[in-house]
Amino acid sequence: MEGNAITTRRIWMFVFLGLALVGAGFYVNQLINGLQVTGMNNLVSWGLYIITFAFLVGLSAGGLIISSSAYIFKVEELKKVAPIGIVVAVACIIGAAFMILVDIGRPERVLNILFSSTFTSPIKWDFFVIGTYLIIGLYECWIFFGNKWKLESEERREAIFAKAAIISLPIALLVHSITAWIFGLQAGRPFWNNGLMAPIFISSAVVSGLGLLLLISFLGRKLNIPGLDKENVETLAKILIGFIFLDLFLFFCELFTLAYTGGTAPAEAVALIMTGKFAPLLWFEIIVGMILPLVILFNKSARKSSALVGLSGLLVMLAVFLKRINIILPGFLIQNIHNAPGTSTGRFVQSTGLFFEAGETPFKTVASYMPTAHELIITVGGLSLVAFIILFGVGLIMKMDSPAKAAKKEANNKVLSSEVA
Amino acid sequence: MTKQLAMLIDKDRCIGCWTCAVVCKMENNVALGNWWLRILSNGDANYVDSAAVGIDGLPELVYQPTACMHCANASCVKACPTGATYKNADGITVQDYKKCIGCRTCMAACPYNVRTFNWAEPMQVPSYDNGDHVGDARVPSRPKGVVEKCTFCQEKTAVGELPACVTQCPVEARVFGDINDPNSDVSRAVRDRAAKPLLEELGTKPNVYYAPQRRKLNTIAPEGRGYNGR
Repeated sequence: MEGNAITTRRIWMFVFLGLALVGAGFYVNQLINGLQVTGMNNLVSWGLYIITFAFLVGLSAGGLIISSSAYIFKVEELKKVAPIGIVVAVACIIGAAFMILVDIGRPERVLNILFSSTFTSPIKWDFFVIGTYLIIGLYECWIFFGNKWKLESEERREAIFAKAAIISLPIALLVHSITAWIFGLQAGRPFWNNGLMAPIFISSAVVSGLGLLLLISFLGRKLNIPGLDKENVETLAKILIGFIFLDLFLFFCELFTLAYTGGTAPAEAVALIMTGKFAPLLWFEIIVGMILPLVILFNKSARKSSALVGLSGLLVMLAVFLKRINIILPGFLIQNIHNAPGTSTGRFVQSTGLFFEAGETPFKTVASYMPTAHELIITVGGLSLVAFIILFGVGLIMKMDSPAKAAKKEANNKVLSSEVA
Repeated sequence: MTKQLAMLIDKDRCIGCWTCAVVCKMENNVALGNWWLRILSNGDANYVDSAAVGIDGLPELVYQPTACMHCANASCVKACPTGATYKNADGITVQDYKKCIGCRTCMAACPYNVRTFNWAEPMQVPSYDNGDHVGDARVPSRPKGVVEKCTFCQEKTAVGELPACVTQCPVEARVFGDINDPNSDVSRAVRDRAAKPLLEELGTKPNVYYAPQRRKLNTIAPEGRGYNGR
């Protein structure tokens, strides 16, 4: 049975690697032709790539925040979640870096961020913090999977990990705050510019991260991934309930504050996502993505079913993704200056030779954005890369000898060698 | 006091002919699909089917040429992670096409939507590949994947010439100069006409001022007495 599951894991690894390579191929095409292959334009200058970036940064939190907190606040049961939490964190942050890389127009110049002397840009802070986050994540991976630590006692390893956790927890919180500030500090975008952005990003990050752990626990149920056994999953589910409530509360606070006065640009944006174009996303997010998982997780018998728990994990992840769309796109759609004829889109439409063709002008008063197939494929490639790294990491975790076992082995070896002597 | 180049646009004089926009596009070799300067008119998104109404309730079109405001406290300069956008000694918000990584944070930060991005390799008709510029040969060409915008014609203003949109305006609706010099034309005009920049409340301290149209209160035409009773 277990052997079967391992083969399945391998097959999926190949599938995801293939998808990631397809995405890479399309990315090469984007490098050659420029970002015209995407649906973005001068009015909506960030699209699916940045939405996915924000989503992946969020996903990487859940496991790391939970497992680091477990070590810092000494919650014994949850300490075992740490290896899978770290693997998810590292995989997602690599995916997030990839999404940033595909989004920028001249990726070969990305190191200009390092060498510039200005420090006011949230993107720059994000670059440094994500770099630090990745390094700490890899260091913690090394503690778990490195050969050097195999023979150390469990106490010593835990002590070292606890020390790393003291750094990684604030860095994890900082990564989300700064990602939120990329949007929240823009005074020019009234819908983004509010103080609740960072708390909302952190709360929904934990929600989606926990959702991913629950999903992994269901998909890998036959592998018995350490840390994701029945009791731990139930604890994680309970934490998830709390964070869903926190997330809904913060989201409500934001929308209510922006909408209450009425007549302002943020209120217009709230109307857009409550009843306008984005309403289907919002209501799907709240009803199917938040309330349905709550119903499942509150039900004691449902909470025991790994399939239902995995399903609620998937649903909250979907909800957080839709939420990222609902935060980022309305910020662009509500403009400070919306007089006719609007803004030039930057996208040249080949003329058919007729005068006054509908839709053939480079100007647009109402911003609109729809991702192209090309953009979707690159994004799917990025997500597949994440899935591939997670599956690879799961393999490492499975191979990871429990320290007690290793100690026993060593003791046995010593006994054997002394007997031989 | 440091120099701060600024512009005043007289909405009373502007006739909405788009000459400045076209001249800007030519002089700076702006690619197809992108416009650094656009002429907005009153009325809103529904302007096709809603009449533009002036201050006295009668139909009246007012034009507002809109390009980079060269804000003294520019949100794009703060947002740029590489220092590709910065304020130079003349107070111009400069875009360095060699440093720009094309992350488009400045576009998200700009409250006026005046920044444009080269989504593809810039294309001009006729093409200027053989160094045969229709516009100003001093303007550097831009590769794909960088952000660009109005530069107050920095190549011209650096050597004391006026920006193309100022010299080519057929109705002399634009005044250009150093706003920090109280005796310059632009300072006088701003004081004279009580000109205000756009979205002043955001605190970006823009340096393009708009002089409002002078109030011309027309009496409503009595029945059968011709246009406005005259």
